This record gives sequence, structure tokens and C-alpha cells, in this order.
Amino acid sequence: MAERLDSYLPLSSAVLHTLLALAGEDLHGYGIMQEIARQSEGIYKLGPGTLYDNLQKLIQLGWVQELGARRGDDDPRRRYYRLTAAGRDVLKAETARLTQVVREARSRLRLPNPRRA
Amino acid sequence: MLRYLYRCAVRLHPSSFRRRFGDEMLYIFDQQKGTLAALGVMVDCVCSLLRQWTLRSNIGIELPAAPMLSPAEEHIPSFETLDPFRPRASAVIHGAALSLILFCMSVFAVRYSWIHILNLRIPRVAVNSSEQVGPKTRQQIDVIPTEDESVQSKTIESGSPHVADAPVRARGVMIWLDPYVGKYISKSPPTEISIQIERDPLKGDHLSLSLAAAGHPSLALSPVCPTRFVIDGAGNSYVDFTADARGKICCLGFVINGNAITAQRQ
Repeated sequence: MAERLDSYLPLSSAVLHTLLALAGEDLHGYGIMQEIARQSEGIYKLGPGTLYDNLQKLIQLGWVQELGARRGDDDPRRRYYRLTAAGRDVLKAETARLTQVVREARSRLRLPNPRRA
Repeated sequence: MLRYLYRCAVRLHPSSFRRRFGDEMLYIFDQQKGTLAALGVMVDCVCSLLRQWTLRSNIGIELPAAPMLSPAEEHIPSFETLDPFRPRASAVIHGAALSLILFCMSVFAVRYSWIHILNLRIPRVAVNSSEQVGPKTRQQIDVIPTEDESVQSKTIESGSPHVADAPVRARGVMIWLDPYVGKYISKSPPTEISIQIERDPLKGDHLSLSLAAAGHPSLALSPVCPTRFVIDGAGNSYVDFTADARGKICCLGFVINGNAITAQRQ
């Protein structure tokens, strides 16, 4: 299982941020874009074409599930998306990989470890 | 304007992608504030368009469908469309073969009606051009007959290989002269009448029929209609041709020197 996940790593920035945005709650496309902009403090912005291109790929991989429109939503065009268990596993694997990278970078650059709050 | 362009760009995406995400992309475009932001989304859409058609090999594959809202609860009638329907390859081949057969039958029917009902002649000329074609050379032109015509070979003075089959215009109607050419036999008085095509170099190689009967000078005929030719220089004298049920010229009649002559084609 772990080997199979490793074959997908490292994730592209768009995929990583999309999975990360959906890790908290179910979101619609525009919500994902806003969440990505918030998480990256406005540095990384995803256009709708790129977003849905990646969502299409993630749905095919089974990492994201489309929930459809929500009853009583402001705009019936909005469809919601949810991170699946497989998607969560991939995100965990990528997070572990990135943690290892950060640890290695800190070690090489002799940077102090961040203090835990 | 920009929204219209964006909508066009969305519509140019592969159908499976467009059906799934097109409305949401438009929704996101509508949420943009300011022209600059809308322009950025537009550029992103164009990039997505290129990416979908060039890099995505799964075009046409439908994604797993999302659960739909119950139509009964929403009080909205539900309709099914054939949009996602993709015919089998064998069905496409059968359809193409059937279309080809229907096309051939239509062409045959049109040609048949032209020849047998409207009596229009479809020219098909094959030229024996083994010899060098030069001005004023004698050459053989074979007119390939239509289904109801026998093979006719005529020798004419010609500088152009296709001139024998050129039509003559009469009151807006194009008339081919070949079907009239031949020998006609009159029983009373017994005489043989020959109809041939002649070219008049003085009138710019104008083509006309000539009627030659034994003991009479040759008469030039100009078409009035497909069944009537006027005798040039003879006032209101006409040669009337009659066609049989198949549209083939079978006899002619005219009045000369007060004698009415009717001749059957040989």
C-alpha cells in the first residue's frame, strides 16, 4: 500500500494544495480556490481551469469524491467535493515526505528548530 | 464581452469535461471582481483548453456520477438526453455503409430522371487523342452513348476535341445537337435525308445542324426549342423532330417547296 502511494509522490503544487484545502471540510470549486489562497497567504492562486483539470484527475484516482449540489445552496451551479480516505492517505504520505525534506534542510542550513507552542 | 469569450472557451473543452465542470467554471468567472481578475481567469481557461486537448488521454471517459437531487422532491421534471451516448464502432461502420448506399441510389435516381424523364443529355466524351491534335485536323470523336443510345461515331472538321458535344443555347435552353444527327428515310416522296453538325467559322465556330436531302441544297437549321428547328433563310419554315417514349429522336417532318415530308430515322 505504502509503495503504491509512493509512486504518486511528490505531488504537484496544485494537487497538494487542493487535497489540503479539502482536508478540513467539503468545499465547492470556488471555495477550494479561496481556501488555497488563504492557506498560502495569497502566494499561490489557482485558476478554475487548472483546478477542475486537477479535480478531474483526483476524482479518477479516487482521492476526491464529488458530492453534487447541496440543497438550499446560494447557487445551484456549485458542486461540493470531499476528500476520500485514499486521498487522505496520499496527503499524509506527502506530508511525511515534506517533513523529512524540511528536517533535512534545517539540518544542512543549521537552522534552529521551531519552538513548540 | 469577456464573459461571452469565456463561455466560448468553456464550450470548446471536451464534452465530458464541459458537462461536468462547465457550469462551475462560469460560476467562478461570475465571482471575479474587476476586469484584471476576469482576464486572469480567461487566460487560465485557455491554458486548460490546450491542456485538455493535448495532454489528457481520457477524453470522452465519463467520471463517476455525483448523486443527483431527487427530482420529485424538487418538483422539477426529470429528462434523459442522449448526450453521453457513444455508438459502437460497428454501428458507425454500418451507418457509414448505409449512407453511402443511399447516396449512390440518390445519384442514380437523379441521373435516371434527367435522362428518361427530363430528356436531358449528360455528356460523356472520350477522345481518341493518339494523334497530335492540331488546328483543322480530322479526328474521330466517339460519343459514349447514354443507356438508350447506340454508339455514334462522327467525323467532323474540328480544331477542338470537345466541340462536337458542345451545347447550343436556344431561348435560354441548352440543346445538344448529337441526338439529332443521323439518316432519316422518307417514303413519300422516297428520299434519304441526312442531318449533320456543321461549324460556321464566320460566326466564331458556331455549331448548327444541316439538313441535306437528295436533289436539294443543304439547309442550315437553328434550334428554337428541343423539338423544333427553324430553316435559316426560309422565313417561317421549320423542321419538327419527334422523340419516342424513351426520349430518342425517331422522326422529323418539314415542308419544302410546298411538299410536306415526314421521315423516319434509319
